[in-house]
Amino acid sequence: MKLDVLRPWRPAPGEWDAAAAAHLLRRAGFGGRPSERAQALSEGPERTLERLLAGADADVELLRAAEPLLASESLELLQAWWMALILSGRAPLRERMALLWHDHFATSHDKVGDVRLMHAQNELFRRDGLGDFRVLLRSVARDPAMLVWLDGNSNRKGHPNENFAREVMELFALGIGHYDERDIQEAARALTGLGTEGRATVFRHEQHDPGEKLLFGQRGAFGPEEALELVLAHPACPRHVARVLLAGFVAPEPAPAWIEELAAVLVTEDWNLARTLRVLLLSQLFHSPAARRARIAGPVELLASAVLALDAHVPPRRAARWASAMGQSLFRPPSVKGWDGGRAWIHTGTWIVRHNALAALAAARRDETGPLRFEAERAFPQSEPAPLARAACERLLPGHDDAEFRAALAAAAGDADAPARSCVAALLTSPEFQLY
Amino acid sequence: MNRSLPLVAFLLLPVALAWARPDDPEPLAPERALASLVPARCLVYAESTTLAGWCEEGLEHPLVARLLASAPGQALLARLPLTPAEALAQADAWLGAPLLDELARVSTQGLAFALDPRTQESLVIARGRSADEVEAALEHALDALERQFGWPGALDRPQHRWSGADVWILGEGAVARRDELLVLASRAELARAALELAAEAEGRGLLAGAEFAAAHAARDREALVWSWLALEELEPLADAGFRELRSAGRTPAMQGVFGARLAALAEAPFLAASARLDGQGLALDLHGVGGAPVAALTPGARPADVPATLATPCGAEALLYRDYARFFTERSALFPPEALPAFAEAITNGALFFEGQDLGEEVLPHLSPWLRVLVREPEFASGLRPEIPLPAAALVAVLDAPEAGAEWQAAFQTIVSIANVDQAQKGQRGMRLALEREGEVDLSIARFSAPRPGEGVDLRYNLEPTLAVAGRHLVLASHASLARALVRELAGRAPDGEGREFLRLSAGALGSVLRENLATLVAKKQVEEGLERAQAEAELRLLLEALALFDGLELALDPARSALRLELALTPEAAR
Repeated sequence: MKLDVLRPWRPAPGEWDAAAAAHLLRRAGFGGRPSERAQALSEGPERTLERLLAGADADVELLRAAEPLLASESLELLQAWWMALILSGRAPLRERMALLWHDHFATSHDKVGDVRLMHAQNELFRRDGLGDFRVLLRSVARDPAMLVWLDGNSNRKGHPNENFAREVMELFALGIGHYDERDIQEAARALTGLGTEGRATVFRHEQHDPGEKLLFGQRGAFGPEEALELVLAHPACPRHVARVLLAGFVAPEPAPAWIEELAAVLVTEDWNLARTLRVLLLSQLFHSPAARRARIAGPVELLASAVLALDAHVPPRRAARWASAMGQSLFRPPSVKGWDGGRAWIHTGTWIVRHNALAALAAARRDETGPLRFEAERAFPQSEPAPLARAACERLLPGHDDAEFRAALAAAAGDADAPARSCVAALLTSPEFQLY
Repeated sequence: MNRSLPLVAFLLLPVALAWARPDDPEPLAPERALASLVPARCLVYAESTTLAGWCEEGLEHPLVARLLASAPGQALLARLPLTPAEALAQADAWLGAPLLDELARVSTQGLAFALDPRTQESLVIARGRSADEVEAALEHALDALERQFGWPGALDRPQHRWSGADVWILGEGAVARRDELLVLASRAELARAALELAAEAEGRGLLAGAEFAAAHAARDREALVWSWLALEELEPLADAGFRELRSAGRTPAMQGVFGARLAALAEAPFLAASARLDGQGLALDLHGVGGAPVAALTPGARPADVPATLATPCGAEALLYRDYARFFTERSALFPPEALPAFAEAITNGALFFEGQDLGEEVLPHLSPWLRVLVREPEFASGLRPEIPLPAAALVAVLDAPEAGAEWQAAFQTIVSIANVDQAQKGQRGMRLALEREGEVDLSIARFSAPRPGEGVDLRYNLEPTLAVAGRHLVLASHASLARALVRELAGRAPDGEGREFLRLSAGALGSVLRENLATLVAKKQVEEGLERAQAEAELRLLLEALALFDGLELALDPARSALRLELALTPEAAR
């Protein structure tokens, strides 16, 4: 197929610089540590992306650590576990995809009330998040947490519950305008009988409506699988997925032309998300200046990128609490639409939390969750304010070449008893650092 | 006669006069307490008169040697970069003399530490056997400092002479020696004040305080450490948590959970503490000076029976005096006004559970204020052993009459039913009520439905609330198997006539719970603190090994002295 905005980016000499590497590591992960940025710079974009897609460094021990904790029924521990995986930085793209699909197929523990089910869904996103979108959607439809969340158990023959069918069309696969109320009702009928027993998915034949349905103009005695196939076969589906990927990886409001082009790539790549992302993340569109720092960082992105860029250590439980206070409580999205994101991340309430958390990180203030390790003076040994401000910018905001901004940082460093901490705190709490 | 002699004598006169130091104070009286040399502004004080004995024996001290030779001691040592002997050898090399011997020499007659938290100034006073020994030890220390900082000869002579003492100024601090007395202070002014007190024959120092003097006179002279804290004066200087703890003494929560005596300790103006360490373990005595527990809530205020003593060993056991009936009937006298609405709410809810009866007037007065609380390992039903197994806990109280048991059974069942409604409203699973028998006794049991195969047995399966009434004993247990065991043990037993508050904890049982849940605890540390697995495991194993040194802990309240005694008993292996 002929590509336009998604043409491969061929960097001219010097174009693959710290800012470009940081952009790729940020969007395809959570920014990474200084050593990872240096590795990316030396490897180039393609090899870096291959490494991220392979996710071979995944922390298997930490992944397994969830198992003994699930019996505790503690959501806070589950949140800390996921945050630990994100902060470990070992398989950043896999965790980013898990976070993206958690927001997309938003399911909350508030209603599910079972950490084992929430964990199983999280593992599903981790396992299938870079695979075939069709497999992912089918898995989600049979996921016990989703079935509890969207009332699969009360979707019975003669009394269809439309919750899941509606969200599949409106939010998960098609988007508003590509279906009508009749399609929702008929899809709900097709999905009857799919529910849970204990923590397992079951199909109760006696509760399934075997009658003929009319879905997207097609007639048949559709069951759950057939209904999902018809949704996936709808021309709006690849566009909807493309929009999700573009909003997550490029810019919050993708242009229609970008969506069309990426949707075509998705279909060409046989719905494989990893291959589609490879095209996207190596494209001219992705590496265009307009795409850089075009998104407002969500709390998890903000915290993880700050911690990794500073090579700091924050107890994951503390980071998860901070993220919750900033409005992103993992496993507890506010509604089936997920987090509003974008500008909604920042308001008077959350800004204070962002400011305090980032200032506490710069000052390495400890609390009852344990030691927070970051030595600003060691990370930035420069004694003069101006070189200190330059070094902090290069580490935390590469490519942000703004003399006025650097002067403000230098002034913050010059006025303080602990110049390095003050400079880092001023940078982390700046509006510029809130952009991702 | 040599004619030059008068001249020599004249020339030597200033030297002789200086040597005699007519302004030097009288030697320190042998019976003079170290506390009398400490300025009264110091709010924290600790002294030891037995430290020298420990130092003289050093690593050869029988208890130290046994602890180091024990298996857990060896395991702990293996983790240290240096053995204690190597560390001591390094210190000896730095000092140029055996450190522990020197410490013993300067503290033969005692060693005291004091702190003025307002200025953060600290003071150490030691009194040795003789002036010569203390002088020699000080010389070694000053020589070591000269070598350390490259000041050869700089400390050969004192820089000042205050109140008959030779004084060396080191930075902001000072070291002073007067005969066998050694004074070290973080600020020279504090050392000077201590020396001035020492110079006054009638100097009282901290002993000028009547409470201090009385507590000091009554102290355990064989204790390793005796200490004193002026809590009331420390309060404005301490953090919010300390102030809250002090002010919580009169709250229902503090009185209800910790009891009148412990609450009194927290709000006492002064706290005296002593620690005694011997072959059996560590005994710590805490004595609230100047405060008194709330009389109406103090053990014995209401004559009542005590739940029968149980023979079967427990992982933990406590006998507590908590007169919850008086919490209600005397609430306006006992607690602040802001606590009273909660009582009104409790009375309303209580009426719902106890057939309209008033909790304070009609229910709790028929229950003995003596409560026996115990923890044991339960027997889980087949297939229902939780993945995180916890010990079961039970509470045993005494009813006025066995007939009162029926209303407690009914209340238990009502509470479970109401909790189920609440759970159902949240879409959560509730508990099923069952009525079973153990001998002649009915047990009301609430159970979660058994999980389906492969679902995992969650933490909640540690909970199987059970209520039984065996004779006059009311048993409320977290697990049916423990309730059954207690019903069997209490069958035909009459309550005890009297009791004394205590809490006993078996280190072995605690270690066994930790060992059983090690994988969970390791994972918890990994995800909460962000530790690597190996690091988390090492930290927990170290804790287990330290725990293995001890047999258990006993906390007892001495009604005569209004004091709390905490005993940490060594394992037979460590104590042998």
